[in-house]
Amino acid sequence: MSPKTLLIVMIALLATSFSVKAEDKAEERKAGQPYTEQLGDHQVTSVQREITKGGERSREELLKAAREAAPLNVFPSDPTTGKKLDEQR
Amino acid sequence: MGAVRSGLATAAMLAFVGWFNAARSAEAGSNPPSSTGTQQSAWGDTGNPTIAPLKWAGLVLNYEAHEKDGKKYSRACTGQFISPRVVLTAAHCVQDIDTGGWYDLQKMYFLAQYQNNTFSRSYRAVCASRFDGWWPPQLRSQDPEEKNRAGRSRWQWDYAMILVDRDSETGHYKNWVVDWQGKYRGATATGYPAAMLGGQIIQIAHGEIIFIPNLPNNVVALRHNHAGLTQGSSGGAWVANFDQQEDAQHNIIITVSSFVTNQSGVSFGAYPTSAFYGLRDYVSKGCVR
Repeated sequence: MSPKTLLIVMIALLATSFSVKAEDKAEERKAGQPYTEQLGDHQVTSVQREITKGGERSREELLKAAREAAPLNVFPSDPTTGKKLDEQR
Repeated sequence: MGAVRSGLATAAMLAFVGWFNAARSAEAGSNPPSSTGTQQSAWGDTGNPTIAPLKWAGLVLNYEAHEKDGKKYSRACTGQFISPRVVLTAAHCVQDIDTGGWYDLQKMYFLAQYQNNTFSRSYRAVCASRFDGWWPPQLRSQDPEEKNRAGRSRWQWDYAMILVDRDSETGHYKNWVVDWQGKYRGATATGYPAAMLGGQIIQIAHGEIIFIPNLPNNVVALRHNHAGLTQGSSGGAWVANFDQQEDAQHNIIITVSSFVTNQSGVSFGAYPTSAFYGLRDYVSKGCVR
């Protein structure tokens, strides 16, 4: 095997490896599973919706759901946030 | 003549007081909404979703996200467009605060201009992102002190962004700021509090911004004195210089509603840093770098 052939084989192997990794990542996102990436000094976690045909709720279904929805809000158990306001404007 | 002079002096004094008050209220971020609220109540003023800035807001609906006694219920928050396809809301509106499970994006919708059992258009979520500071691994720590520390610091990250499947038909907020301490003294909270017809009507409540030393890191308070502006308001923008004018000086987002405590009439939100911009750009590109 000539050095030139060897180089071509190595490049082909590397390309295949990168391609498989990219497919894995895309597959992971397709599955709708959370994935993490570095964004500057911070990490972010994201999810993507699997794009499928159909499954969209009708206007009537959405309105009914909105009428009956339980509102989300948070009351932290951390007692420090419940202390008397010591104001500093 | 003396009476006339006295009258003139009184008029001059009144004019000065009027000018002084007007000048004070015109200071950056301190002026309450002018003409967009209509009915005042314990939960705020009724907002008008047909004009700026509330025409950019809507209901974040997690369809049938919760099951109880064999029946499925949806969960609702407030959100708003901050770019043609990006909706800003609270992190706990995309990820369950107790379990850490993400709400199913197949069932996540944004109902633009939702008001009293109607909306202009529904948008479907394509992807959603939030900073990992919202759900740090230390939350599961066996060390109570470490767990408590993580629990305290997470609130500065209680915001998330959702990419939706099409451009907003009504536009979006164009102004938002980070590291704004000292620049604004007041803001207007917006949202769908459950206390108002079960979260059917968007409300606005102007209040005073307060930085509190004993609060968790990078969290800010807004004292609006509307005790009912609580559940359902999560994710609703706090807007400096709230006004129907659409220019660079008005409708500046400074954060979103995160949580409430036993302090009646006070809401809390993250104090966003420049990382906010990075997240917006990242989400705009499809939640990829």
